[in-house]
Amino acid sequence: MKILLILILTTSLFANSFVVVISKESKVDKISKRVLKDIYLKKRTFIDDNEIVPINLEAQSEVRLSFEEEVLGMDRDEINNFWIEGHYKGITPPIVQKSEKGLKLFIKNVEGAIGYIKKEKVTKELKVIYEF
Amino acid sequence: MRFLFFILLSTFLFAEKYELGHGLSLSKYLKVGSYISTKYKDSKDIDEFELDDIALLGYGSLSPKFSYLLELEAAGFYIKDLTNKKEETNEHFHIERAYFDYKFSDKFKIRVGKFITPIGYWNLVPITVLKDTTSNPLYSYKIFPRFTTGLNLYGFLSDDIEYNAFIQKSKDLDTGYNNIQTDDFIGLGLTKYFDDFSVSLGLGQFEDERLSERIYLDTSLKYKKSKVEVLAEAIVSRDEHKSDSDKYDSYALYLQGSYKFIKKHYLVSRYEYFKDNFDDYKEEIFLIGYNYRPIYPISIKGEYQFNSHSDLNKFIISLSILF
Repeated sequence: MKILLILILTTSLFANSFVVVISKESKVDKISKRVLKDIYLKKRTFIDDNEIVPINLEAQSEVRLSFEEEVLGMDRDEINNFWIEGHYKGITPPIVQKSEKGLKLFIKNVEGAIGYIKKEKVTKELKVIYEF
Repeated sequence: MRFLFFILLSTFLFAEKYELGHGLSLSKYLKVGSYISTKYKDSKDIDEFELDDIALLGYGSLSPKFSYLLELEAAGFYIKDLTNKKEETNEHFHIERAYFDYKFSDKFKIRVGKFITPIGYWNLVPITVLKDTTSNPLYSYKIFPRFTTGLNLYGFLSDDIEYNAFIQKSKDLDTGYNNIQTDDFIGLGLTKYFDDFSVSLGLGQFEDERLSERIYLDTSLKYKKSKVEVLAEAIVSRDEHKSDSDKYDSYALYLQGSYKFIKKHYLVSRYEYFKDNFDDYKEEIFLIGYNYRPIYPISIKGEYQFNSHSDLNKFIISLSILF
């Protein structure tokens, strides 16, 4: 019983350990939730003077679902509707990478690219700028 | 016909996965889309079917900072007057929007060309398929030009305050295709964002063939949470007419609420007020409506308007689709 309790406690403590990362070389060190949301909704494209390229994981990704709920504060229908309005305004959604591996590679090679991954997947080439 | 053939050919050659309402990427630099709107209107004097809007849309980014958009529209494409058994067609496509954007930073962006006048909320997304009612409130087309041809500077002043400053000093890019014809227009707007709502304030000045000067002040509020959306906008203007030395005021406002009572089904209600002291004209409208979206880019709507001039009471149903 004690083991079960510890397991549940541990799971709940680390369940939401996701982070937003950028290349270690970037001058960007942190980002507010509001600006992060605006960047993923393409209302903004800069942090200070640094141009930012937001990257999504595929729609069914667990990390993406958590990101949408915690940071965007929108469900999938609302997001879909937002991008349909975006189409009329000439704005396209962020590009998608199929895996966290692909996302990390993209961030490493494209200046200003940001994305969300599980905290334990952060490697030395990446810098954490937001945690959720 | 050649243009249509080119579009179809391009579609087969370059198409990525297509999803209704999200447009079609033809290349890295070009995404295309379209929308149509049909409606049936019934009032004391009017009984007509209308293929109202057919529009083509193309946009893209030539670099991360440089983008463009072009929208061509044929309004009143086909009208069938069911009372007098008459038909009317208008197959001419007009320039609704045509502009370039350049982003220096989030604080400073420039838009050049013909664009939607950045006033309030209703005017920013004016197409039927993306609204909860087929009709537009009087507020949205009686007081200010819906489109501006010129320069728009915009961006964020801080994390939660956005600004727009625009100026027009020439004729419309497609002269005649605007609700108010002007070649001299200047305006400024500020929007403050909160968690579930935002408020905006704007003022501007323009002249047209009837007015030597109109100065307006507008304010808007948008609240959206879960299944409820509330829009409220008001505008007041002071006019100097070319035919009269006195100054006259005009007022327009509306308050609209919509409620998603079941998934895909929306109830909507709106109150409108409009008064023009120069023409000594006043109109009030109370509207109730229903909007069904089987999927978001398809909207089937019905509404009934109770007008203070009972002859203008009307029933409207529509089908609109964004491709």
